[in-house]
Amino acid sequence: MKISLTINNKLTNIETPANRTLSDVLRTHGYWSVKHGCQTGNCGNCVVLVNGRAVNSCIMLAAQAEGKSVETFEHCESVSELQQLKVAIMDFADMECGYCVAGMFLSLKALIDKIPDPTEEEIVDALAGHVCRCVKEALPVDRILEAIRTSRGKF
Amino acid sequence: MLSNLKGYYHPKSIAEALALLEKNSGSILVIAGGTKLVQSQNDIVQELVDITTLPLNYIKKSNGTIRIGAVTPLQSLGGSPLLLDSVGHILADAALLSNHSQMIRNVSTVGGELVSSGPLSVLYCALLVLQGQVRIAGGEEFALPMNIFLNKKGLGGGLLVETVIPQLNEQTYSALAPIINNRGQIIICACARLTAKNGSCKDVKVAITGCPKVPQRLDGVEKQLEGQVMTEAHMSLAAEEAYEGCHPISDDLASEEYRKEVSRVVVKKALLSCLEQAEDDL
Ligand SMILES: Cc1cc2nc3c(=O)[nH]c(=O)nc-3n(C[C@H](O)[C@H](O)[C@H](O)COP(=O)(O)OP(=O)(O)OC[C@H]3O[C@@H](n4cnc5c(N)ncnc54)[C@H](O)[C@@H]3O)c2cc1C
Ligand code: FES
Ligand code: FES
Repeated sequence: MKISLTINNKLTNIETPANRTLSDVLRTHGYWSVKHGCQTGNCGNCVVLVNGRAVNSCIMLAAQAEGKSVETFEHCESVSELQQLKVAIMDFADMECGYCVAGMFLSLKALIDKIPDPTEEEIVDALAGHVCRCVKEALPVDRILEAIRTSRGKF
Repeated sequence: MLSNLKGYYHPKSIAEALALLEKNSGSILVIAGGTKLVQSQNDIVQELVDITTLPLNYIKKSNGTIRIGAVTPLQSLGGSPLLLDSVGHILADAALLSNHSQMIRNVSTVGGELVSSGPLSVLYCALLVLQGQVRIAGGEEFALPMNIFLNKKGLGGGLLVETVIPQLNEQTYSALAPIINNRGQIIICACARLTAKNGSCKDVKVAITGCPKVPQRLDGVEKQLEGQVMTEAHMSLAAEEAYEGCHPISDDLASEEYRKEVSRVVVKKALLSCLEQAEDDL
């Protein structure tokens, strides 16, 4: 089937079998930041923003994104205002694989796009459903909050 | 994963959606958020009708009721001031408890959650005590009271289009009380709602999850508390009735015996939370 959607601000027409997931289709089109973690909606490694909301693209059909705007981590890479936040999450993954980073980052981006000055609870809620398989410590919510506050007004 | 899916429709109206469902019945299904459907091992379904583009994403007030459109994402219930104002925290809390992941709540819908609710559905439990109704379109449009809806699974190829909840009056209080394990899974949850009238409990409604098929009302608790003075002692006594009235399931989260034992604990917590709200209002 043919679907038409906007990926990272670019109108894109795609020919795909009806049962393909959005994560599969995005990866086929070169958006490798979208990871295959569990493929069941349980880890958040495949998170992308659809119309500004964080979703698990492994349990969403590409057809469900028809006419919608999809944003992947590739789109945020060059946005300098987001550097502080990126550093805070990268620091957390530090020497590890970093597989979980893009998904977490996008969930936080969706949060601050909606609530520029979130509380710790709102950050914890936005990150619930994300799994880091390498780092056993809790997510550095205080560092994330600090990064958000430092960059406030710049997003 | 939907290995035989070939067609996907984006109908522009409810009538168009119903016509598609009727014409191809058997191998065609509705898809809302898809959080349950997409990963199901269903090799019968060949076509899907996506209802998320229909004008069914809303929470609105009308004629003393709150109406929630079927494709409203669960996450929207969490942040709705209108809902808070009209029925208190209970529905927002229930929606948030439906799934701990915001990524899933952003997509899964009120309709999808209700159609696929099982014994542990907190949203369904909350709607039972709020005396919600669901409106089904298809053939004739009719409303089913919440407490028979899923026991019957009476959709018959129709579409759940709306949930309708009577607005609570000022002296009516509602609360839920879950037991959540250390992996964030809800083992059991009680919901309660009551009206304070001259210091007594009126119109008491109590329901609990963990019952076979879907959550159930606890008549024994309701009868015991109805008309009693609103005190902790009366609520504790009424909560004891939960033990007799509750016939829970066993699953890998907890045994029937455990759920039965704690049913009175969660019912008491939910009732006391209503009492606390009433006292705060005085
Ligand atoms: C990681 C994860 C954890 C989950 N945990 C739970 C859990 O703990 N408990 C639980 O119950 N579920 C769970 N689910 C399943 C799922 O999230 C819920 O059942 C969800 O609320 C379904 O909503 P949906 O809009 O995504 O429905 P969909 O997947 O789109 O549809 C579900 C079913 O309902 C039908 N349907 C949907 N909307 C309508 C309508 N308006 N009218 C008629 N039929 C309709 C569909 O045809 C389909 O059969 C989980 C899913 C994931 C991915
Ligand atoms: S890969 Fe999608 S949630 Fe894990
Ligand atoms: S750093 Fe490896 S999964 Fe998080």
